[in-house]
Amino acid sequence: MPRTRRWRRLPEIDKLMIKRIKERVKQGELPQRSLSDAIHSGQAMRTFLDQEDYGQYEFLTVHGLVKLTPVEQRLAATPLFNRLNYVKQLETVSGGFYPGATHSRLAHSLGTLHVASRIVKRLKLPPKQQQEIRIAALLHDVGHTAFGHALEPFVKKELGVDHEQVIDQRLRSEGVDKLIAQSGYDYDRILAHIHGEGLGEIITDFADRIDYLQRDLHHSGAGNQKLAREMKANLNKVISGLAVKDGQLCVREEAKEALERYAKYRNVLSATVYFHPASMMGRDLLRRAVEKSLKQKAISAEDFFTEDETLLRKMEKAGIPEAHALFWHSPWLSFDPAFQTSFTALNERGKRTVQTTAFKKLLERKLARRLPREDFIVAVTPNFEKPLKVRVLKRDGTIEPTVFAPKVGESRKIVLVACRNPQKLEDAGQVTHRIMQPYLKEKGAYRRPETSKALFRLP
Amino acid sequence: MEPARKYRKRKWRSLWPGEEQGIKQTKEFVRKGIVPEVHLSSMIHHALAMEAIDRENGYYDAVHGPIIMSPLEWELHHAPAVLRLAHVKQFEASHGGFWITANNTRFQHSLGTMHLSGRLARQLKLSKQEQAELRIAGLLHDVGHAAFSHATEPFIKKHLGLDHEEIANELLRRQGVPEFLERNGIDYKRVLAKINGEGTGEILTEWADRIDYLQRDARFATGMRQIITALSRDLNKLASNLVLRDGKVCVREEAKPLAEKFARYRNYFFTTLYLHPSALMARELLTRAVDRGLREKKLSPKDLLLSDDQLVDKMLAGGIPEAKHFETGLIAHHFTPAFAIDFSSLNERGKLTVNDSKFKAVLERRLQEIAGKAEIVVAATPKFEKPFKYRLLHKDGRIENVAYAPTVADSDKVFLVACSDQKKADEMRKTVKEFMQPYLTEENPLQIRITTRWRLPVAEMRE
Repeated sequence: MPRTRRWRRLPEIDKLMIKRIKERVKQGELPQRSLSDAIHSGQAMRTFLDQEDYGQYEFLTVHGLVKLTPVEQRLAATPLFNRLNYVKQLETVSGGFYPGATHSRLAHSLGTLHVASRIVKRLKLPPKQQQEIRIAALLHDVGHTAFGHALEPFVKKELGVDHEQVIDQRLRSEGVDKLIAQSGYDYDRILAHIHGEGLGEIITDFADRIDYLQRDLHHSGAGNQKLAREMKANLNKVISGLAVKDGQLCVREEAKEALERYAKYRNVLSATVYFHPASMMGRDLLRRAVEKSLKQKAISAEDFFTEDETLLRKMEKAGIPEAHALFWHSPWLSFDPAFQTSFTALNERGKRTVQTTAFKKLLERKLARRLPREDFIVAVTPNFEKPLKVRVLKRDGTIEPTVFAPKVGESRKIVLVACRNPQKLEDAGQVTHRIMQPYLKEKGAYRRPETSKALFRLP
Repeated sequence: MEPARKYRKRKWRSLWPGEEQGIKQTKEFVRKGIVPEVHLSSMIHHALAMEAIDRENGYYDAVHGPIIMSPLEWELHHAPAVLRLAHVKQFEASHGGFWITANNTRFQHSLGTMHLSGRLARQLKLSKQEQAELRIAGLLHDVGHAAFSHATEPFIKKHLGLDHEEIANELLRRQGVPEFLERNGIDYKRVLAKINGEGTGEILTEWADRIDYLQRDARFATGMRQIITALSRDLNKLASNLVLRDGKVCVREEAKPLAEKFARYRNYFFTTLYLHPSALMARELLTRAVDRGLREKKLSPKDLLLSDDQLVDKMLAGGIPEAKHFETGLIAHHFTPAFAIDFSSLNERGKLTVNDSKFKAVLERRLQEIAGKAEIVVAATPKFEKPFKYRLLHKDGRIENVAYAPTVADSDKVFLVACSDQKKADEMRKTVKEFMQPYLTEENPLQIRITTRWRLPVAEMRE
């Protein structure tokens, strides 16, 4: 069963600080209600400047203070890691529908480190292994290009290596492998952990996701406080349910209910945040901009490993209209939905077909006969419902592989054609409707927003 | 007799068209088991927003939920001056300070302020015309802010001779906003007056702006649940206790404790967020970088009106050494504090002196001899405790002008000397102590101890 959390022992300076804050509350300088927060951030402020603690702590939303060990501090000071401060976690969502979601991958990496350290402490692994898993958690995202997952296909095509090899290359080129070796840890084992081999599952299956679910929810605000609280409670149950049996990572049977929820959360966030129409449109536009700039040789594969804004500005300077649109207006601002239908309106054939790339290409080709390529976007919700595979440790000690595959309502998945030219809006809608006809349940069963976002333009 | 209710309860808003459909759909999801029961309220919340925003224009904000915009506002926010704010962060400390998650932009803040000033205007029963003007003023109120806003403000004033309100006017004029507003039946001059806080504009400048940025920074910088809920509860209650008398905004007598709390919250945010030691460091460095850039003609004053990142890139291209701290972020990690104390360890003379620019210059010159090529930062919490002025409406109808000035404990203010070279920081420690001796009290109970351990500097890592 999940155990209650123990309070950490306070250093002397914190005790002094708390006493002082309590006095101030008594005198009415601070409101009573914010006492705990005042103490908390008072501590935070002290630890920032304190001799013992200076540079050891980072402060994050969702987790609060995150403590770093000396080797992690050295790694966190590398330019390789610092770059993540300017790479956004939700690449194109911000500026679209959720203006709040501007959190960086740096915060996420530190958050993953925090969750991983909680897990390894709970599993009572040997200290050296604990540290190696923590390092892997800290560095698990350094292989990401600017705009994260959106540019992954290009990396493979341009550099001829996949995401996993990129991490290795990047770490070696910046001399991080030597830094790790100097500190007495095994670089190859850490790399294996990042790729999720062995107990690396702690990071790939749990710590990473546990952090990003909470962080994305907090910063986008897609749910209310109740959902955030419930999510935190369930994820904590998952963490405390983890166990190691015969060298394999399992989850105790007691935490099965929490696990089911855990599998659902990602789908909930996928449907509302990750694959929100604005976000899909942004991703499409970004890919198009990169494709064009690569063709024009405006950027090279090395530019992928700069920061979000730098890459975007470089493309904009080269005169790529898509990059300009992304920098100054999100696609959410300049494109109107011309045709929009949820999966509920599709027939069996449609459900099988629309998510394929061949269909998307067909639709784009046919639309391109009527409209310039820059003027429309085709966005279809991809197949995001990946099952969660976990080993469940039963009470009698046997291990049972279990698959959790929660489904998302079809009305949450959409086919969308958006158009930039207000005069062609009606036309584009009709053309798409004609093409989509064989895939729809009934004739004319498609939804177009009643009042479309009419485009206004300033002189 | 029934006791009077202390605060006015918030009324539920009526549903938008299409929202009922959203609720029905979500409830069906729960029945089918697609969405767990617990998520119901949250999903309904979200479904509502999706439905509403599908039909109308708007955003989903993390602080206020759905923000619906009128077609006019939607059109207006396409203006480059407004969209630029999406690349200007709310506070410069986020570029490498202690609050590393504070990536919130001025764009979201403008949307939030628009939403709140509209809500307040509706509550105070202003005319429809004035409500629309206030909302637009809310959307445009930050347009004149330069990159890294508060740190660069003195330079704007000095070199362009304009303050940020005048810059806003200039920018908007150039982008044709006045004509556009006039065409749509909105008086531009009145909007501008509202941005400057004249007449009912104080709803925006005194209340909506502050209520929004406090809540926003609480959410994105600290992320502490208790403080987010406490703030939203208290500030919402305070907002619903504002009334209009003789065209002026007053606070009901019942809500006096809330208004005082509001002032205290603000001070509290200043000490822990806006003037956090790391923010002081960042501000000091930025001021120095911009100053050098302008002096050596590497920057033109107009460059200050670019986005944060563009300004940093310009400075880097010009070869300004201080700018490299802003390239990687986490500025605080590039420095070692050589000396750090809070104001409670300073005597009266010290408290008066540490913010003096001459004092700083002398100390800096002395330390630069020791530091050589390494960089030094001398920073002290500036004076920020202004009294919070508001009008109090007594039960008998009398209006009283109140100025409430909560003081901030000296232990929350910091004097800090830091150096980019760890060894040099150790060397200068003794000198700083000697220099500061006449300004310290005899007993320093909570003197912050001085660090000896430090992270590897970024420059060294590169070699």
